[in-house]
Amino acid sequence: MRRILPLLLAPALSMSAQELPELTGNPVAVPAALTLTRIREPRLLVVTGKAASGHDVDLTRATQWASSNPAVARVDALGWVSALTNGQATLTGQAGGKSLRVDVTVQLPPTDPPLSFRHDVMPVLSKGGCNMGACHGYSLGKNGFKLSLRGSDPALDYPAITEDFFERRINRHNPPASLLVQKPLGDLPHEGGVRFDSGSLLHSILAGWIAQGARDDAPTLPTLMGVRIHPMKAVVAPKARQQFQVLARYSDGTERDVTRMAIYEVNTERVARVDDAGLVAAAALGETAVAARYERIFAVATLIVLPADSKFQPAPVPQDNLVDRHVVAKLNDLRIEASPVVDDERFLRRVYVDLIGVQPKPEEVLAFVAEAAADKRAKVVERLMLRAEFVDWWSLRWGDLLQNSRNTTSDPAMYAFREWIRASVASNKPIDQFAREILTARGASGDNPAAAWFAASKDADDSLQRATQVFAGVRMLCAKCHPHPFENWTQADYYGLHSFFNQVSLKADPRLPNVANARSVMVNVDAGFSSNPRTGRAQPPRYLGGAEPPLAASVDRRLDYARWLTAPENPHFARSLANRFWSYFFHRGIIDPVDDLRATNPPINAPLLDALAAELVRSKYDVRQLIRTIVNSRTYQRSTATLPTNAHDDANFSHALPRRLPAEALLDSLVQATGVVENFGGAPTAFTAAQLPDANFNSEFLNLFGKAQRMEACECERDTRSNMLQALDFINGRSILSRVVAGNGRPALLLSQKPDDAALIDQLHLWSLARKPTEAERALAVRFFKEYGDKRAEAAQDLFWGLLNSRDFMLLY
Amino acid sequence: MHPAAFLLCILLAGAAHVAHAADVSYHREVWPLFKRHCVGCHSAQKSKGALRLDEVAAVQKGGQSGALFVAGKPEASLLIKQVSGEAPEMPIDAPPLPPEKVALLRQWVAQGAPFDAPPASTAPAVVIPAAYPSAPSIASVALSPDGKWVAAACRSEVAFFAVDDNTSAPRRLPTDCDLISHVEFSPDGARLVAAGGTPQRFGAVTFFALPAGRMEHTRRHGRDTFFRGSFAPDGRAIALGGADGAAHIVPVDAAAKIQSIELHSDWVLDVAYTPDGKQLVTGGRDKTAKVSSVETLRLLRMVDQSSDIISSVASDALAAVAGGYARTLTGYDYKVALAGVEVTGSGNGAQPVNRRDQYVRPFEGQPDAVQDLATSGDRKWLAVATRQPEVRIYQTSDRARKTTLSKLSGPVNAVALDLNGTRLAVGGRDGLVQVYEVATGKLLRSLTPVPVTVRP
Repeated sequence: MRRILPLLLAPALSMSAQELPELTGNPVAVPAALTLTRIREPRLLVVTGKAASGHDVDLTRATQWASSNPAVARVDALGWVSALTNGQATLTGQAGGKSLRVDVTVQLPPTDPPLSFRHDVMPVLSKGGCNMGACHGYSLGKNGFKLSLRGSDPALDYPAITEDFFERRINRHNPPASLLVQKPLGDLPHEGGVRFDSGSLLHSILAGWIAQGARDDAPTLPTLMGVRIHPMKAVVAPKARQQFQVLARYSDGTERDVTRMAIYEVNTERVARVDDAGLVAAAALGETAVAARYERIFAVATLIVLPADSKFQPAPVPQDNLVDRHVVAKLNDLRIEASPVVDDERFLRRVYVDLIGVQPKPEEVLAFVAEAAADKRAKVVERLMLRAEFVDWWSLRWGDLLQNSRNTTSDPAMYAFREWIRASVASNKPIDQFAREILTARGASGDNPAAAWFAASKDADDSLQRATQVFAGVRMLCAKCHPHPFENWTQADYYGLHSFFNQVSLKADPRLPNVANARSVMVNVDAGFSSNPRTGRAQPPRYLGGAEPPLAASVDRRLDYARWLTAPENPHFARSLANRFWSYFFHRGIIDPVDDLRATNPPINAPLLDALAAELVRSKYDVRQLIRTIVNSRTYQRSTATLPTNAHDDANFSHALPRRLPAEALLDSLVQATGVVENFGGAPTAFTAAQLPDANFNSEFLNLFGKAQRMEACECERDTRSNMLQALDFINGRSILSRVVAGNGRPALLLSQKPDDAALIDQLHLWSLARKPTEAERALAVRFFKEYGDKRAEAAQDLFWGLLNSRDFMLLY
Repeated sequence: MHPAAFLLCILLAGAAHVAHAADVSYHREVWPLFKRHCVGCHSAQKSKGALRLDEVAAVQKGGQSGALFVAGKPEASLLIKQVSGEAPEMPIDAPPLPPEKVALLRQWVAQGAPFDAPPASTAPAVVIPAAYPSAPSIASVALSPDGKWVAAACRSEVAFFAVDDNTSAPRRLPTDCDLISHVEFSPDGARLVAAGGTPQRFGAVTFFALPAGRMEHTRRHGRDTFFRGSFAPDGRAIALGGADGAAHIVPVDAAAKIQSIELHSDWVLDVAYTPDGKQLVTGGRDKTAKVSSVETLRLLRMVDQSSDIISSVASDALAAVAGGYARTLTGYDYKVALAGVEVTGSGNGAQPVNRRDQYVRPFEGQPDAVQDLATSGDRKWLAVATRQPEVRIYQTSDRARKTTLSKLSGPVNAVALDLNGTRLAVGGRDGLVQVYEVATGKLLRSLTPVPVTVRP
């Protein structure tokens, strides 16, 4: 019976031993040459080759290394090179029938320098998970032992470890007796479980540092300058593995291999998994970021998993439109085909809803389809950008983002700000100027309507968080109380921004006495800098991720911030806005979510985003030019129908994603289709949904379909998802039914012209779905009319009700 | 089922069984699994669900939900039910055990849950080097009532020397504790006590007879170290703070029982007797300061709730004193704070009847977190150590600062005064013990009381 087991295990074993595909060209080892300066710091050789199929092949563990001088340096089976004694050695590797060579120099100091608290021990506390938010990194610590969250503050952690409670946690003279060692080993009960094993690297660093006296670092300790990951990009086959390497660079010019101490995460676990040692196992087709964190710095690589053998023929890369150029290039990389471009009717409806927030009328559809001009799609885009509804629609979007609402500002100020936004959109005000005017506004709404933006902020915290989220796509709230968990923002960054905005105060608008929420924005140029609660010291203004500029005394510091933010070279402004505008046309950003930009959330197509941002800067921040570039691309005009190679892709814009119409566009399109207006109590008569100045109109329809309430500066406030209540409202509610049967409703209006069945059916389709029926739909409708006999009005109403309840009305597709 | 398939199942089950049956060892496989995933919550320190997995007897006994396993019947065993299934109950707040570990537990129970060996003790031995590579920091320092003798806690040992004898090296009194956190002379100067223990293992108190330094006896108590405390004025017991939230009264008589008052929701870091020996002042990591009755072993009042840890307490004739990380030093007038209704029941959290501003007797603000307080034997003087390299001495009658010893060599961990406050002993984080004449500020003695290897 025992013989059965090996038989069962056999297939599993042969699968785990990787078969090497045939390689083209020579494998490459990184680094190409090595200098080792510490016995305790081996370095990893990552070896990659290229398969005939075009895939990258990780040969790190498949390479057989031999050292010309094993007394000086040697390589283990995982590719780690260790130093033994000073000298030179040449490593010769054999992989997949090819050979490669790496020269090693070993230069050890006469005595090994002691382990560093910041550079050796702090990474152990991070790698071991000790300082996670759920453990000792919690704001109150855990079981009386508190560490800074994710190792953000070594100066606080050092005394917590070495001094607290009579030095209870370490014993310099008897390191194995230290709680700091016994607890994570599990030798004493530890609620956080066993964090590392006896003899492991983490254990030896902690115990070694304690044995050396658990000393603090000298103030001259070099600082960590950057972290990089290799390879930056790997294209692999399913089930393949890829070893990553992480290198840390210090202010004294030295570099360390910190692969073993970095913390790894993939952002799409469906595609791949990563282990503690930076070895990634590809699982399914697709793409994922592989993020490595070392101390407080992140490095991100891209892993693309492609089918092992594919008959894919790369598409020619279009050169006439920057969007298509970068999207098709990426799709070729991914071996994905792009879906074809949609027909005229679908294109027209999509571009109408996206640009002016309402679908086209029948005569517009018919005229467009009949038009023969080759550039008719580009022309209609130009015509739409001149429509009044274009101003309505984009002012609505800006009103949401800038939170123009009577929740926070007075009635007159809200209307004045609305008009200011509308005038800016109508005149196509460059977006940099638009942002500067808002971020530097002062006075009352009567002086400067844009001051309503500051008047809506509770305090400088609110202002800085809103400003960074809207105009830089960055969420800073986390960094108010602790270092940002997914980005290198600290409280110094946060309060550096705070100091730009803390001169603003609000007082009642003297010209609007007795008007609720009427405020005037005051700037006290003599206000000091904000205090960083961590250090208790004043934090000078600091640009987001940038320098602390020298500023003259008694100036409005917002002016400097707005100038810096909107400068062409600013890394946040054009990029975040290009990404945000892109999302309005594709259901998702190139970075998504669009207002959570950070190193650990990389763009799905970086060259595309860079090109769009550059285009926005080049055009002097012309938003209409940006829109033009996007909607004139084939990428925008692609069908939602998928092909075998792109069905799994929902991120690379290989096909359109069906999108539900936003609340206002849905209601305005319904009103246009049925001819029955919606009355919004409190708003001027005949205001469309897109024209409403804020969300305080208590419209059940708009609330149901997720209108933004303007309580937050987050794009997420607008809910574009579908749900059961919406379906029930459409089927049973008054929104559609009462309009369809109304005496002034579309069916009645059409019938009054006494059309024949065919014409009536066409018109009903055109008004509801902005397209003519297909042959099958027409045949079905004709049969339907026949069944109703002389009850023609009822037939028209029922058909129209059915069309408005179909997905083709609810969705852009 | 096809007969051949049925046969295959039997074969497989048999094969698996044969391959593993004799191999699952409690010592080698099950205990490491418990250690890695379970004992954080199920051990002597934290027996959640009244279940402990750190001792074989406890594993056999089970917890409040009953026996952990039915030998030979994995499916009927609580242990297996808890860790298997779609969404296992255990381990809580952690990923489920990997299937192979569940299978291992199942196997172990299936084969009758044998205990081949108890878990090996992993407690590291106490090490007292002949010479230290670097000076151990002084956790606690004591001065005899006559001001002639000094004792200092140096990690696992006590160093003991005569202030006015420059010629002989300090006596070294070793203990079997990892960490001594409190040393003190008895009020009659006839004995020295060292209290502490080994963190997360046991608390211990050791008495030494003077002047010989002969160990009288040592006793262990509880599952974690004692912190600081003070001798009863009659010298018959010492009260010490514990990690279990209690103040423990440890009699000098080795045969007498230890009495405990459970008072705090976290570690009690310091305990002081009132001069009449009738009450105890306690302070701790739960940020509160409390006064209790020695006679009834009950809480009388919670006199303060600080914004941070209370590290040290003291008592003069009229007021309790507490100092802590919030950089405050505060007196609490006994008469006013304890006045009013009798406390019944456990009385935990009992607030004074009078307003805080009526019973609080504030001292000046402190420059940094308070590390230690010491009163002179006559309770007329109070020495205060903070993280700064200085010691302030106050007159307790008016809470006015009388002397400041500044420019010390480094942060001070511990202070001690003699009977009438003429001499002050200071223990530093740098391992230095210094003795000063309070009136003149004259440094009488300064030494590292244990041998240190001089680095080349």
